Amino acid sequence: MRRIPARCAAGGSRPSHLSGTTASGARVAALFSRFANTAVRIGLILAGLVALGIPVALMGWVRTPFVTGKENPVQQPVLFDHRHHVVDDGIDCRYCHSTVDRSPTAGIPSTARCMGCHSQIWNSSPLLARVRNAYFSGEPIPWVRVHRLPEFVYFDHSIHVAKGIGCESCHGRVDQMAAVYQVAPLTMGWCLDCHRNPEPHLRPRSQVTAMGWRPPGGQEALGRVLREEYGVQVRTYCTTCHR
Amino acid sequence: MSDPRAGDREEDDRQTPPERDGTAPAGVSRRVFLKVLGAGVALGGTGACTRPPREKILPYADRPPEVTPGIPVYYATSMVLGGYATGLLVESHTGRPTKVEGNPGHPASLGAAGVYEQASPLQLYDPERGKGILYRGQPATWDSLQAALGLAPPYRTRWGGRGEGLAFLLEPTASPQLLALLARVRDRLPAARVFFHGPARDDSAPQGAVLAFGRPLHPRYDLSRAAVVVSLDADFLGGEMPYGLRYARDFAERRRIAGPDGAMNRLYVAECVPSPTGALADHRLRLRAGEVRQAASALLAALAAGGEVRVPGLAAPPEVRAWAGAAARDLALHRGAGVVIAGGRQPPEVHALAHLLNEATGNAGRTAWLTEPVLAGAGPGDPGPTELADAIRGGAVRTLVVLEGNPAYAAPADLDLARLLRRVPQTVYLGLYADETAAACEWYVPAQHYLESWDDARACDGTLSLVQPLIRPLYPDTRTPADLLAPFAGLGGSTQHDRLRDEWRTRGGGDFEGFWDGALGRGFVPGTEAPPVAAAPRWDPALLALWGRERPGIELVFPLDPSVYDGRFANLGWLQELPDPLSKLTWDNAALLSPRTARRLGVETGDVVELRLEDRSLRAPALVLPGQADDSVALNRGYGREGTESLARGVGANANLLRNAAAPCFAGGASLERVLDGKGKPVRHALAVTQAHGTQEGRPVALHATLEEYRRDPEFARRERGRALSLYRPFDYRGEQWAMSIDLSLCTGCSACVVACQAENNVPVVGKEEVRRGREMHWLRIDRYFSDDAEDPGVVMQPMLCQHCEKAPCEYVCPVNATTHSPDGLNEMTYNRCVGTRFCSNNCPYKVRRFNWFAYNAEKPETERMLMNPDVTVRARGVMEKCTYCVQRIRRHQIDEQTGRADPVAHPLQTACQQTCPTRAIVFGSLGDSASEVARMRREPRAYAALHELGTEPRTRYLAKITNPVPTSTSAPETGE
Repeated sequence: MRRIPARCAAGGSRPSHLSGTTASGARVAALFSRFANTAVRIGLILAGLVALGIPVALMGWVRTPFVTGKENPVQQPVLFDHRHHVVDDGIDCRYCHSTVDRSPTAGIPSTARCMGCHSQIWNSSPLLARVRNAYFSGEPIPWVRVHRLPEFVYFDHSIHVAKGIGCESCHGRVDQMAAVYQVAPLTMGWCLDCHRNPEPHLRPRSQVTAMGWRPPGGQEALGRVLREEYGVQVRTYCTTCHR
Repeated sequence: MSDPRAGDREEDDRQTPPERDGTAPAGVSRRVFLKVLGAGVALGGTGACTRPPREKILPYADRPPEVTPGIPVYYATSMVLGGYATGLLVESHTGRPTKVEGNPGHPASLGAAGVYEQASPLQLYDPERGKGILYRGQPATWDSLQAALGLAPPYRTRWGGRGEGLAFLLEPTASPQLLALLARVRDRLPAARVFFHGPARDDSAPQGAVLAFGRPLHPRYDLSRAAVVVSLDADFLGGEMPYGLRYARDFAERRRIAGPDGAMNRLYVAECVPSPTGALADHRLRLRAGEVRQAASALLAALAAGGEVRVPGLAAPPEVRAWAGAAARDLALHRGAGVVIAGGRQPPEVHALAHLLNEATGNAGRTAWLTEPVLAGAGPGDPGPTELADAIRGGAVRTLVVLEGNPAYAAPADLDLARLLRRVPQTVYLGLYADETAAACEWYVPAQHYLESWDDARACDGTLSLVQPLIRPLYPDTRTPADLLAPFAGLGGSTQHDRLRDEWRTRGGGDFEGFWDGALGRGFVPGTEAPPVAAAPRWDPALLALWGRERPGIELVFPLDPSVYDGRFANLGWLQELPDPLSKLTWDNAALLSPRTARRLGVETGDVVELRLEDRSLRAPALVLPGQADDSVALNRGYGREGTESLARGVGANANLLRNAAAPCFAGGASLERVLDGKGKPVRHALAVTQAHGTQEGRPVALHATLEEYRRDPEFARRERGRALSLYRPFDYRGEQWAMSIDLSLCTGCSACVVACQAENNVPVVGKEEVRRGREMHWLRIDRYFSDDAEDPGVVMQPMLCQHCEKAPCEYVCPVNATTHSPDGLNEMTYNRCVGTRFCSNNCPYKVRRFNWFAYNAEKPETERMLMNPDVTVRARGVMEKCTYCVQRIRRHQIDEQTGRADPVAHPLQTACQQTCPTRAIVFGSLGDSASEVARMRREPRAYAALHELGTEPRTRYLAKITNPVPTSTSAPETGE
């Protein structure tokens, strides 16, 4: 038990100068005008709005494409056109992003993978000089990251592919992009939308890399069937992604 | 609480160790702090206005086929310590070794790894390793060293062409490659001399064999067949003994009991310094290291007399008679199923007595047998540091090549090797660090770490093991001992890899490539263990020692340190901060005294004392440790380093300054007195002890019973189990439900799990000052409790980690939902949500949550960042953290199962602590599978929940420690087998 200091325990008499009269009883002029009450109320409301508004504004701000990096085509060191490789040549995503179904990362192709074709075709194109130099020097090409997740998020491509989530669901119509840009906000709320209700986004594993694929019989029925077939679970607890 | 004294003020004061204070760090005034805070807030606001810079992705130019970014690969290799190899599997993330595990196939590991192995990757990335060749402290090149040694053309111009005046100093080794190179060197330069210097006194066991058998044979034991184990100062469950991981496993499999009807082995230990082995002993005899020989003699006499010590000359004290009598009766009752092990610290006579005891009890050839020596350079005929000192004094050494071992520091002080090395005209030292020996030598060549070199070795049982690199050498000028010997052997031109393959080509028969690939894949060659050799010991009455103090005064004992070994690991923060298994001391060594001796000498924990032995003296802080032998003071080796390593420098006292070459492990006739300052007050030293309080104050936290009590009342733990009343909803047990069971009967306190956890989970090191404030970050600690006897207590070791309570007190108080519960029973910690209120830590009854008071991870050197486990978040300042049950391994395992990425049978889900535990005391698994080991252990009657009365329903359950002393009710000793 702590001892209470004597001056607190004794309390104290009310100071006299707070009343409108002096000790001797003479009236004094009011210090504030009548408007002062209203001004204080307006001020309080404004202060409250500002206090509330700043966090709301910041929360909105971090969701803007400026911060999430959405819809912002990224310049790459090599003028690589996904439209040409996907549509004109009909190359499957997994030919280059070859570890997408077995590793957490989809994998950026090695320079040797590029040269697999380009030692045969367009092997003297000036557009590919950078790739050839990189291959023969052994220096990696510094590709610029388009989809960046924070370090505390552990995303795994392979499990999403295994559960029938199409590339398009998160990366959009890469086959229509000259320079790849991010179509999804990649915010936690966006992740959770699908983790809470995966059915609208499921497709057969054979169609995972297809672009512009539409379910023939409607997504609702297919989603239910695939969820059952692939054992898709609703996982919304923290260690699903944060470790 | 059940203990009425719990609220007593005096008790509370006692529980707050005086060594730990909460004072603020000096140097930052309030004004400066506010200034920096204001500037920080202002600048922090502007940071949000710009977008973070775009990251770059650098793919391989040509991806190696075995590498898949994002998926770790494991390679088999071996780590050599004390000359013997332990097989390891090392995890590699796109070319970076990050974590060491035991190799399940290797006979010296069986999947377990010890403290030193677990910490070894940190040494690879140590930024203070030697990086370049130095000549008198100045950068030099390999070619200039070769030229100086006369190894560049024209050859053989030095040493008379025959190696006159040339000498090598090696650590004892079993590496076939190194031995072949040495043979070639001797062949080419027959006059060159080879000396050996080992950290432990490796030669006492071979010399003991010479006493017993007439030749240096190598003792081996099979503890999996031993119902009675007698240890004569042998810490075979601790980390320092070669083959200790295997002995611990074999011992544990014989000790594990599934229920009250099960059988258990019985362990008799005679020791001086409390050790993990002594902590598990059923009958522990506390005596001076110099009296172990007398105790062994008494045991032999008791055996001869059928359990009574009656030989007149052996006037042993009553506790020795009781111990020796009980052990002798037990050994006689279990003929052929007992084993007597002598410790490496003990002189040859004790080893010879152990051989005789094993022969007399019919154990020889069954549980204890002999092989030809595996290690070269540790035999009685091999010249050691004493002979080297004599040779240098005689001027017979003109060029000395020292291959690792830091002898200038680690050799006994009376040899004065540090000064003698300076008298040799030409000296070359190969070492991992520019340490004391490098300072005494002319040339310094940085050594390669075992994770970056090709080499071979033998395990303690003789198994041929391969050392393969996980990474290209971080520094190109580094060399291995074989690299340095090769030019002398005329093999200077070949690479490590080619040289090793050429050496191995004679093995394997016809298909060498197949043999080589198989050996690389496994990490060892099966079936290469040394065969048993038959030999009968000779009886020599001179081996027996009579009781009686031959030298008055205090005895000094110099054990190898369970953390830093002989000082070679002293620059590893993980190991400096690892609490000693018994004393719980970090960042120091101390003179350990028994409470009685401390009272007699008027010494308290923290007093600086001066130890005197012959004409040498040393100051060290004292630490009173129950269980230490009276009139015996232990001071661990490996501290008081004076090399260039900044973490090791100035930590602790250098015990080697007291050692002498004739008795390197312990010596009598010493004295100890307190050091007083000018005013006559004792000089104090601040020790960082993580657990100063030893008793449980009568509360049931770490339960203990004897086998006899367990059989009489199997439900003795009933009050600490079962459902507790609760207002909260019961847990939904569908699906996988993760849980852990820890058998306290098997926990030795060796602390391998603590380091494994640190390595797996990127746990930072905080330093001595912060440890003193109680801010160590270990997610897993081992609580050590002493029983009532103040001088010679029983010990219970209790690994304490997040208990993953189903009704977790931490979760209810988190204001930001940063700690939550997963449906599969994990208490989750989400760092990115944590705002650092520390309410959770306040409300945790187990005190297992750790707070990042500083940005421990922010200023890591580039190389140490390579060590980080990429699957675990590196935490920032102001964030709470704790054991996650290795959730990254759980989630990866679940994904592997569903994508078919890895075979879950070949790679079962294990937490880091479980995987490395030598005795398999820790078991992790799912309660959803009622046949799982963890569920079965939970159903045992001795399983209980720590602090059960709080109703937290922890997922971690403990199995009460059961010891197996000779039953008091019966006269005949039964081990129950």
